[in-house]
Order: sequence, then structure tokens, then C-alpha cells
Amino acid sequence: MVKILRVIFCIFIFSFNSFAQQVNARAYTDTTDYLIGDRISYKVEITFPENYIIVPPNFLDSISNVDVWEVKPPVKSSSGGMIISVYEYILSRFDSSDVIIPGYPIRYKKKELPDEQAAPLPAEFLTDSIYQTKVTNSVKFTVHTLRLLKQEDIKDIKEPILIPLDWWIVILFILLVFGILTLAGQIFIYYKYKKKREPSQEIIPKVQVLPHIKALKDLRALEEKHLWQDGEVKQYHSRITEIIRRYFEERYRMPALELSTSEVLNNLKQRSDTEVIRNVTSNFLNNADLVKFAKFNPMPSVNEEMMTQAKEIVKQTEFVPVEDRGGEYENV
Amino acid sequence: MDIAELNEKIKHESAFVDLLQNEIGKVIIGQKVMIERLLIGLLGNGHVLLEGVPGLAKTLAIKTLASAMKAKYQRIQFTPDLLPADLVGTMIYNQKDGNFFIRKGPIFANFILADEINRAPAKVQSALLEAMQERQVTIGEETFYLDEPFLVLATQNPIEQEGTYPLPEAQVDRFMLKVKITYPSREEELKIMRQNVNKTEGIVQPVITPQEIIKARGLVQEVYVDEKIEKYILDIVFATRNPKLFGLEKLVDLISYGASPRASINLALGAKAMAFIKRRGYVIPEDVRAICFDVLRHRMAVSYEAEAEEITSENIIEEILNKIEVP
Repeated sequence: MVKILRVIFCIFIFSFNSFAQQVNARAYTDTTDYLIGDRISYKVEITFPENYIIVPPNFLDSISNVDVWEVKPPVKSSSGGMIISVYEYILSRFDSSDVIIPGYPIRYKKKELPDEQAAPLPAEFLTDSIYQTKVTNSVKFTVHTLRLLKQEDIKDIKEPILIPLDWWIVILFILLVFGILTLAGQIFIYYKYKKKREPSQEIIPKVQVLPHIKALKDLRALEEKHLWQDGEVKQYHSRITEIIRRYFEERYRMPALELSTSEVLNNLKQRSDTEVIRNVTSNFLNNADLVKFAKFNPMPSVNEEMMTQAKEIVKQTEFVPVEDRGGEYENV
Repeated sequence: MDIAELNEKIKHESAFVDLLQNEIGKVIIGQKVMIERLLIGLLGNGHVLLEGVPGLAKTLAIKTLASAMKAKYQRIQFTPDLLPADLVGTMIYNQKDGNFFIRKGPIFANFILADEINRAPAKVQSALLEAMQERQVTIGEETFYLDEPFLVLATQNPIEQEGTYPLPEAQVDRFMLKVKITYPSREEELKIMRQNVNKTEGIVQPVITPQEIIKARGLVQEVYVDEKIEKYILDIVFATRNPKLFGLEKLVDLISYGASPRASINLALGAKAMAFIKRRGYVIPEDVRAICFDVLRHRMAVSYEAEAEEITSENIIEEILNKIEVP
């Protein structure tokens, strides 16, 4: 009996050991010392026999003390009837501390056993007797801040990193500029060609009427209206002074219409070519002011004299063009 | 009255203007524009605000004008602690008979020189400006009419603005003219220097009485203003309010607010006084243009844009005068 019990015990012990050696799960990181924000490569390496299948580890939701940046596809290899699957997770942490990633259970079973779970599910949902469990080891590493080396001198900031010139972009840019220039050139040539084909418009030279001719014409027109003869004496004096002031504006480029009598006379005084008309202009404008602003009712001879004076002012100072100034003058 | 007749009368009655100018000229060298504007204020029954840096004979000119007129003159130096009662007067308790009696203030004079008006607080300025407008003062329950002619000549210093109370726009509007005094020419300053160093200034004799001024004012009122001149005045004033209508689009953004109707009234009155001084019984556009700057410069305000570009109200008035056709 004792012998039978020993055999059963040995069978039990040996069978358990050989089973345990068949599936192995190991978790590790590339280093145990990380800087804040570093990429932490956390790997789970599962070694199992070819006639076994494993449920891929899925514990992302359980990790709480680190951020998961990336889950890489598993890397599988086989050797001596054993399959090695490596699952890599890129983690990061933005606080300095010691971090412990606890061990996670890896579920596995023999292939010939019924597959009661068609799709791989998280380990916690897998029930039962068919699946076995292997727990990975816990991994400990440290995340720290920059270490200040107080003994060392203060160092200057690093130079900007020069990005190497990408010749493809340069070539693309040159081609683009060349394309735009070619297009612009074609548009220019097209419009030039189109313009050439259009019948040329005849440029009509601007006819400029000489100020004295215009003033004399206006004076004649005023004379024909017989304003003062019809009792419109004030209107006549206003109009006649307006014609002469406008003549001064065009002839001497002075704002005579916006100037008072004395200001007009002062302006004329400053010009040497107006000496011959200064007195007559003074009489002419002052007499008109009396009629316009002082209710003065002049004799008919004064009204006639105003017209004579106005014509004299214009004729004495008429402008004779000595050279062509870009336009043609109309001699009315 | 016929204009020819009025012309003759004015030629005769305005003779005192030359006399007055001669008397003032004994003491004041140069500053002809200022003296002319003071006479316009006197004849146009309007008050004058003089602005200029210290030492340009503002006070002396007013004092001399008063001396040449045999009129009562009072100078009030405006200070921050001045009270309205210091100006118009107050009621004093008489312990002997147990009654109050009225002590009239310095405002009861023909000529008031309100020196540095912007140094007094608003309530004093207000009391003065009210008296200027109403030409009467009430002390206690009694109202007193001010003597005629009553002319306030206020001075204002454009520098040293710290601790001053600038006159509000509404109150500045009550001055008929705001005259800006400039420095004398080199020749004038030489004469001023010699006259003061050698003490050779003449003694001003009274050449006119206040009654004669009142009479002259009556004549100024009769000076003829033609419709064309009236239209010209209105064009100028309206151009300050709506420059776009007069082809002055560029001024639209430069004017904050235009001149009030007081501007039209005072332009007409000032032009009449100017015609009188020039011994004419009728106003010509030249009279209007001559006083335009002094009548309008304090009645319109330039915008922030204009201030930023250092454009003054004078620049705007000049633009308007250069644009509006003279009748």
C-alpha cells in the first residue's frame, strides 16, 4: 500500500514539474532607471510548447500608474519545439517615483482540448478547468527627474538642431516656381497678342482753351444778357467779378475765387507781370464790392466801364503759349 | 439810413479808433492784432479770451485800454482758492445796527481783467461767465445791473497746465473772440527792451469816454451786412458742422463737433465791428475772413485723429476758408 502511494506521489510530483517547465512567462523592461517622459519598453515573453495555445495578455485597463503609448504586435519565434512570443508595450510616466507593474496571469491550454472560448478574451473572463494560468513576475523601475549636478558649471543652452536639407523639397519648390513663371509668361504673351489684334483707339488730344479766350467769351456772353439794363445790377457785378476772378485762377494759378478783394490784389502785387493791371483791377474789384455789399447803385456809365475794365484786364495779361505743352489750344 | 450817409457818419464817428490805437501804442509796442481784437470786443459788445505765454503784454494791453477810455478797471487774479463771493460781492453783517449790507465785488467795473481764468475752480468761472452773459449780478435778494460798457478780458496760459481748471466748451463759447497772442518781432522786441530799460514809455491819456463807446456801438449795429455776406458766414459755419456738403470730405474725421449758432452771430457782429474800425458802413468778405479764426477756433473741437496728426482747429478753419468761394 505504501509502495502504491509512493508511486502515485512520484507520478503526481513529476507530472506537475514537467508541466510547469513547459509554459513560462517573464516580464521585464530594458532598464530600471528612466527619466520623466521616457519611453519605457515593457515586454512580456511567453515560452510554451507547440501543442499549446495561449491567450494573448490583455491587461492595459489594469495598468494604472503609467500611461500606455503604444502596443506593438507580438514577435513570435520557435526553437526546439517551443514557441517564444514577445509582447511589447511602450509606456511612459510623467511623475518621478518608483513604479511596480504587478504580475499578470497568462492563460494557456493544450490544443487538443475543446476550445470553449473561440475568441481570446481578457484573462479574468476565462473560466475554468480547461485553461491553466501562469503569472508573470512583477517589474520594478524608477522614474526620476533631471539630476542637477551642483558641482558642475552652468552650461549654455544647446545650439538649435539643423534639419538636413531635403533636396526633394527644394527641387519641388523650384519646379513650382518655374511652373508659375511659365504660366504668368503665357498669360502675358496671350494678352499682348490679344491687345495687338484689337483695333487701336484714336487718342483725341485734349483741347485746352486759353484762359483769356475763355474769359473774353464769358464776358461777351454776359454782355449779351443785358443784366444791368434789366435792373439786375448786383447780379451783373457779381457775375463780371466772378469771370475775372476765375480768369486769375486759371491764368495765375491763384485761388482768386476763395480770396477777398485785398487778398487778390496782394497776390497780384507779388507778380511782376501784373503791374499793368494792378490799378485797374483795384478799381474794378472795389467798385464791384460797393455794388455787391453796400447797396451802391452805379450810373449806367459805371456799369459799362466795368465791362471795359474787365476786358482790359484780360487783354493786358493774355497768355501767349511759347511752346507746346502737351495739348492743343483752341482759338475761338 | 442810406449807406452813403452811414459811411460818412462812421468815418466821422470812428475817428476815436485811431486816437485810441495811438494812445495804446504809447505803451504797447506791436501786438496790433491783439489791440484790434480788443476794440472789436469793445465795439461788438463781446468778451475776449486772450491766450498766450507769459510776458506778452496781455495784462498791460487791457490795463492801457482801460486807461485810454476813462473807464473803471478791475483786475482779478484767478487762483484755486478764489470764491464766487470774492468776485461778485457778498452780504456783510454790520454789528452796529444788526443789519446786513452789500459789499459789491470787483466785477462791478467797465473793464474786468480775469487774469489766468483757468486757475480758478469751476464755480468761480461759472459765476463770472454767468455775469458776462446776463450782465447782471444777484447778491442776496437784490439784483444789480452791471455798468455799460462791460467787457471781460480773460487771459489763459497755454503752458503750466498742472493744477488748472480748463474752461468747459460751453463756457468758452460765451467769449466772442479767442485771440492767440504770439511773440513780437525782433524789431518790436528791441523797442520793448529799450522802452523798459530806459523808462521811456509814454503816459496814456483818456481819449474817449464810456458813453462814446456806447454810442459807437449803436453805429456798429447799423453797419450793413448784405445777404451775400450772411450766406458766406453761414457757409463757413455750416462747413465746420458738415464739411462733406462743401466738398471737404477730408475734414469729416477731423472735426469732433462744429461751431454753434453763437459763431454765426459773433461772426456777423465781429465783421460789423471790423468794418467800423476800417471806417466802412458795410461789411465786406475781408472783414469776415479777418476775424474768422478768432471767432471759430474755440467753438469747434478737433477729433482724436486730428490731434494725433497735430491738426489744430486753425488748420481746419484755414481749409474751410480756402474752399468756400467768396461772394
